[in-house]
Amino acid sequence: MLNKLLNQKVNWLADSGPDDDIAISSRIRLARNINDIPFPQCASHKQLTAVANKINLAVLNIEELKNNQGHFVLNKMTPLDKRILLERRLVSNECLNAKSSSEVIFSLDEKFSIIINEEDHLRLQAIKPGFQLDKVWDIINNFDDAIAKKVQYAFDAKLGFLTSCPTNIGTGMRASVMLHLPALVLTNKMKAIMNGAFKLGLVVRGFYGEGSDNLGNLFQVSNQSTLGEPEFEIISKLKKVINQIISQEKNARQYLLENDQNLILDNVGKSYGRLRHAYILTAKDAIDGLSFIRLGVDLGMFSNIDIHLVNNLFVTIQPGHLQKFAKKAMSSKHRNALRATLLREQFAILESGQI
Amino acid sequence: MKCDKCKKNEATIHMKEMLGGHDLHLCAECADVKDIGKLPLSDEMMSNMLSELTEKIMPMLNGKLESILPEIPLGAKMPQKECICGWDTKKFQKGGRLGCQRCYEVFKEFLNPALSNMHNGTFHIGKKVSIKSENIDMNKIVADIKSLQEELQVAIKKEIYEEAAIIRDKINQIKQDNNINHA
Repeated sequence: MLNKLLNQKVNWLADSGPDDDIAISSRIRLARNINDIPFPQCASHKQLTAVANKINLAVLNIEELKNNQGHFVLNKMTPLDKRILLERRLVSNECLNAKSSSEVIFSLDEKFSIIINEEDHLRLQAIKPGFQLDKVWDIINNFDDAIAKKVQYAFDAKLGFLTSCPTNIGTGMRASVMLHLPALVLTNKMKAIMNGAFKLGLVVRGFYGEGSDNLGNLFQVSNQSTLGEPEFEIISKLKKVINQIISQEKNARQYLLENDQNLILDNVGKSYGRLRHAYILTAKDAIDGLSFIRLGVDLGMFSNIDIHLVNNLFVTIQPGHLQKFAKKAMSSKHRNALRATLLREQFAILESGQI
Repeated sequence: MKCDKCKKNEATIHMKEMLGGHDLHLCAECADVKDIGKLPLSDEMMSNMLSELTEKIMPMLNGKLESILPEIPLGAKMPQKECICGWDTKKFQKGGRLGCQRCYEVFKEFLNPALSNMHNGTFHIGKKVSIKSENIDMNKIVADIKSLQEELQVAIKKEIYEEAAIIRDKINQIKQDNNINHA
């Protein structure tokens, strides 16, 4: 099962989507709990097993998952296998310390996943390439309805869907879009964007790393508030702000091309040289380098490189995927060498295609 | 394309106005004069634009922007409480999480103020679960309405009419959803 995943490209990175030059992917997750059973961190093993059974039955109701699903019991997986799921964003960080009754079910195209007994009994997640939150909402809303037909959710007329953490109460919805913003980083605009978005009740954070720290100029914009506004309103607010950030990034790119072209050329050029010729690359080196290659592709500097190939490399150079590729556990020293080799070869192939 | 302003030079800077939605094309000279050349890069412009957007899409929030904090205020003075699920104030303070759905009622006196800091509202508006007819707990619905009515009275007393209107709509919605007549 896991090998099947490893042999396929990550769909939400490798497929085309609207505005996917800057917006890489759109994701929505819903937090749900089953009525009258304590939340996972307070429930007994027996109760959690009952939850897992109920949800597994309810999932049978979902047509798209019937003959087309991956299914793992998380605590029966090796740490490396769990890492693979994490690197492909099928599970969250918390799942790495999963309890005995935690499970993950996902569609084989990786567009939809259900996590059972993590922070909440049920976490539904849908993800699509590019900027298409409305479509993602339609998908997840239908799945949610299908499951609600079979299980009674913990729901309160006043507080909405009841969740283990009060930060998710109400809609239980967290919608997010991953954005690639190299020009806003180069022109030192990210702090202003983060503050502005925060005032609107939205959060912008580095996709890898904490707070304003970021790797590869990748940022995730998501809603903070889940109570007091209907889902469509949260999504439409998010869309407005993201549209604005996207045009700011476009303006900043234009500005740099007009006024400081060498800064862009230098970053793209050095990154290409590094990834094409290095023998030791940390994940940070590789992600930062790929970010500028991606910018170069967007700006038409590499006619032979497909942007989705670069997107996919962001995942395949991660520690878990590297070790699966090598079919053995590796120290970080060996991973850095393998990472450099893979990227050297990848770019050599692309270069030879050009000549 | 010629510059929108001087109509002479070639336009080299292209901008999309956020809120008006129309495009602006300027040459470097005019952009510089108008100080717009710095537009995509000016902190001030950026925060102005975002705050303008704030006023447009979040009128309810004006005036209390600074009070939105993501964390729950975990003061030391919280009263000791325990829910039937076994969750208590200590566990709540430690991780900011709850043990079961009933905890929301048990810890409500320090939870509710925190909720209004965390979120853009205090009542759920949005997707509802379709309650299967055999599972309707009338006692719970009546209790919900009762507690909402109490909050309505408080809001009216404090003259917070905006909130009172929301609570009133909420009560009517619950009644309508459950076919309860105005009794």
